[in-house]
Amino acid sequence: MKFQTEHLDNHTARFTVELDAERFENAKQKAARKIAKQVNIRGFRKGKVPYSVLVRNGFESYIINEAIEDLTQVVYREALEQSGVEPYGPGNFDDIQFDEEAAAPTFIYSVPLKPVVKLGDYRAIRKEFSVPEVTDEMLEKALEDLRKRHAVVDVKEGAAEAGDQVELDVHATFADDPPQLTEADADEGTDKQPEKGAPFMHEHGFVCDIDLDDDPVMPGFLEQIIGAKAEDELDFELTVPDDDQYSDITGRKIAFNIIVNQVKTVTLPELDDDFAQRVSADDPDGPFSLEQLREKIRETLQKELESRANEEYLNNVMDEIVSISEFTYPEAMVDDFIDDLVKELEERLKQQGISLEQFLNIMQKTNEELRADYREAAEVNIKRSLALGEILLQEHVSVPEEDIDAQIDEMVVQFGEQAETIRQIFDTPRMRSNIRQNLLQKALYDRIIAIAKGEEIPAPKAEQSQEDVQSEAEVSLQETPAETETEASDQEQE
Amino acid sequence: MAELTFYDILRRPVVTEKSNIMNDELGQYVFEVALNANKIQIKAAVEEIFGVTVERVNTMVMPPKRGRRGRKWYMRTSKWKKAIVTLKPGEKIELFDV
Repeated sequence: MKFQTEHLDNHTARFTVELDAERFENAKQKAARKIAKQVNIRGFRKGKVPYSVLVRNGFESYIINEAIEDLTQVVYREALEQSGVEPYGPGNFDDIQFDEEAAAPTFIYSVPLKPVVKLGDYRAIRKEFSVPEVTDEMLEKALEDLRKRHAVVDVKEGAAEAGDQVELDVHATFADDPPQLTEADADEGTDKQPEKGAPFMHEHGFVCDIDLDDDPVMPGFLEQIIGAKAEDELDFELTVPDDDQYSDITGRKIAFNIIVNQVKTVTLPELDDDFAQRVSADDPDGPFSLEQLREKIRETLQKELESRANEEYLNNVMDEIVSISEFTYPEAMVDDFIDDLVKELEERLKQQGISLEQFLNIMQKTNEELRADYREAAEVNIKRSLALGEILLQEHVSVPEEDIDAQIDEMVVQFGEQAETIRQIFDTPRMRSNIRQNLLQKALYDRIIAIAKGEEIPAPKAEQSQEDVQSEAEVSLQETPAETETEASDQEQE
Repeated sequence: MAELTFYDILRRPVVTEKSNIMNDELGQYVFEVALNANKIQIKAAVEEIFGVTVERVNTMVMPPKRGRRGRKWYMRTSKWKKAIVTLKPGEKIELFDV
């Protein structure tokens, strides 16, 4: 077997393998036996046709094809082994050269290479980290929302006023002719506007709070409702304002016909200890006094802000790491990732009852354009996960078994009496490995954040043999190039 | 009757599992031959056409076979003469193995 490896520009390798004649002959014999089982030749039972008879009956090309098909896989594997190249994914069988004179064919493969990451000095990155404080405003808003959720709603006889809640049947249509489309509009792909009389809104039992600052339909709508009583019928016209929500029909006139079903008063509960006790009755630490409730809400809000700030911070740091690092990866990796994204999109659309083709039709895009749109996101993601994988290797982040046990304990404890039964479900190698991956990811993120914040982190010790970690990280990177979850072995970290 | 030419004598080679085994293991080749050809003629024909040395010729007349296809159609095959030609050890007829 003559063998040759070339490295191409786009991070792929090309193998050229010339096969031994003898080996090809054997493969042909084997293929002939296989074909013999399928063909009917007079004078022979199935599977008993000798090679020469097959050839005489014109099956030679079939035999050769079959033999080559069998060989491509095997030869590829051998070539891969010999070359010592580390592939990212399955190679591609590009071409076969088979001359009449040559006794055996030459196979040509292209193999996407494993991505190479040259991390920049990520340990030198320092970034400001700050968590915004919960302001009194935010606290008041949260309390207000809480009050609204616990509001008492009563049917009322009189006219609707600001602050009340109304239930309406709304019928609205366009009341004027659409403007003529200019050619420029048509070029831009502006859609034709609805004709006069086309429905704008049609809803029964439309419930809205009369809050003049926050009109659910369009400015001016609620003002018309104020003063109406139950069972009143209202007719009025409004002009569509210049608003993001209706950017394509700005300036059109809409005729509303409204039947008021009910007018209700909304009574917000007083903000006092009573209220606080009522809303916190289910809380394990409750019930609270109003002061405690405030404190509790403030804490929750603060936690939210913190996790959001952390996330943002991590994003910033990762962007920085990516920008100072160098990546080389094969095109196939990007394609795979885009495949994943498209598949995800398809799943989401399916839930809405739309097929991908329909979606593309609506968006007026071809499949290629869609993929091109995803390309950038795919590349960013790939770079990130590559960087993460590499950092994982360099930092020797690991999750000790005890942590996994602790995590399982935490998860089962909420099941109370059934905890032990549930534990059996979680305490399986498969689940453990899942949990490990999650914890590992978290640990890795924490480490990166800690480094960037400038906290003291001892330089990683390479106690465990590098190879173990590497091979495991590799495997999971290949399985899920999109994900950052990487599995490392249980090395002990001091 | 006009004399048979060599090519009239040998009608076709018989290629079956059985004949194939005879080719490989016994150096025997099987032909369908003209009904009125005798062993001497067959020997001469094979030697002439394939350029080999024939040691022995056995012949047999294969009986006609009758059958029925459906209720109405009767079918029959005619009788034919089969010749098994044994070559001098080591010799081969190329036509039979490509």
